[in-house]
Amino acid sequence: MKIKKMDIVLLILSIVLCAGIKLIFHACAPKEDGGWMACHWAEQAIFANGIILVLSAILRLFVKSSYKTGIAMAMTATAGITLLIPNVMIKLCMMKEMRCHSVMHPAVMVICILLVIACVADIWVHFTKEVNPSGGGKTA
Amino acid sequence: MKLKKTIAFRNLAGKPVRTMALILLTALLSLILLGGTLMVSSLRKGLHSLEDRLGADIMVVPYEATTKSELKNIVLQGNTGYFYMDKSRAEKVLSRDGIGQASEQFFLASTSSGCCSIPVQIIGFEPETDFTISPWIRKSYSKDLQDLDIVVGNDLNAFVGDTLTFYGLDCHVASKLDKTGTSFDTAVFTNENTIKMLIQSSLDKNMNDFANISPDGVVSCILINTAEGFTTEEVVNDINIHVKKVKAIQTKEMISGISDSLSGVSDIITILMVAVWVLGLIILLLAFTMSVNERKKEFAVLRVIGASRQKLAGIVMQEALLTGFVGSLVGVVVSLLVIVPFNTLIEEQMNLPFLLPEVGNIAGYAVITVLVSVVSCAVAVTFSAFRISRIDTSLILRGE
Repeated sequence: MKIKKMDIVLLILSIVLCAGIKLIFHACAPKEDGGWMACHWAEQAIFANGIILVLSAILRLFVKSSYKTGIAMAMTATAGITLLIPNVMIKLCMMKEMRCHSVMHPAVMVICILLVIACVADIWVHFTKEVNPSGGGKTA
Repeated sequence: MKLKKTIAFRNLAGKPVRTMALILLTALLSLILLGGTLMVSSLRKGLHSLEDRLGADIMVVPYEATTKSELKNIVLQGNTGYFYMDKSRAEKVLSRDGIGQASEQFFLASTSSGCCSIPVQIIGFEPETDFTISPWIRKSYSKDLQDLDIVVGNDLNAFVGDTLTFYGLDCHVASKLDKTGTSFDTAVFTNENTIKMLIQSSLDKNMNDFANISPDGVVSCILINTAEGFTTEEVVNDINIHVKKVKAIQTKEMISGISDSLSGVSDIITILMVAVWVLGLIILLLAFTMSVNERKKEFAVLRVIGASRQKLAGIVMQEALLTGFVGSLVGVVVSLLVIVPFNTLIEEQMNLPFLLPEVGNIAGYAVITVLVSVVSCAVAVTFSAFRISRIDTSLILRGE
């Protein structure tokens, strides 16, 4: 149950996605009549997936190495799906100048890509070590 | 795996903080080089794209449009708006000497539609006479636009086959245009009949300030190319002197302000890039020199156990190349992750035409950046490598 650097990286990225979508790179403001535009629901869906990612990343801190890899696989899928939410699964606003296109979409894209890369790297390292347990030893 | 067994790699792995600092420094240098290059080339491409899109020598608009500075806002800044002049004035303009090609355009701003709170600019053109928009539309749509067909700019989140409703009229998206990096990316284009229907519908619904106009009796602007034997200045002066209540403007003059701003921004970016690179190279030179100096004894021991002078220089050079390569890769990735996805935000913040280069060009810039960074590291370490290959082993080991 050793906490690895990758556990911290995944937790930080998940927290940035989950908190950022509400606080920093949120979707467009409500319309003048108070109604929400389509991008708001994309934001909500991303937030929900963000919570799942944060909980998964926290769970990784307390489990054995082989379980960590399983959780990384689940996180890869969740981050991949989150990547598709803005504009593929839920259409965003009309103009690409609008906040949901210019800020929310690229920010979610970058964080999710980083999450997927980090998870895949973690899975790859796990399986490489399993094949060659002595490999990758640190030299002073 | 062979790499991991090299002395250079083990040296780097053995001093993670120093290695990380060198990697971060080279990452910063390559980030600034690629970021700056992408910014400058995107701004230049945006300006060329704007020049192509304006595509006419002269633009004639109602005089009121120029006094309220609406014109530049609509044409260059992407603001929505509209202005009209009587067709009789347009006919007077077209009867002047020196007119080669001429085509009328019609502007209208949509109201907020259901899905978004920002109105879009609708531009109508005469398909028979148009020489600015049609060639551009033909790149993505070869058929003639039917009534209630529209072509949408690249930055509108609408696709071929979608239906957009403007002033209660359902318009069919026939095509989506290529990106231009200008305000035209957020506009909607349609033929003369459709825009007249939309203007009439806006009047019927009392959503247009020009309550007393007839869509058949007005135009928003006339685009003109001068005939052979006439200069643009001559035609502009002739129209401005002889036709009242209109203003003829050279399109080159319109974009001169943007051109000046762009040149200013490009200069600042270039100066910053050069300054950071000079500073970065000096720091790299010092860092490599210090790193080699503090390990003189290690190199002396290697020399004693049989390593040749070239081998020592090779180790130092390998270390520099490795850190340079990894650092520049990190810098390139970060730069691409910032500039490519956030290009719309950058364009919005700079308020200048901004069009990213093609993928192939971006890849080329990235490769050149990595090469330049690695070569810079090699140059910065050359002096240290030369010095370490000339060390006097006995003096070093005696501590003198």
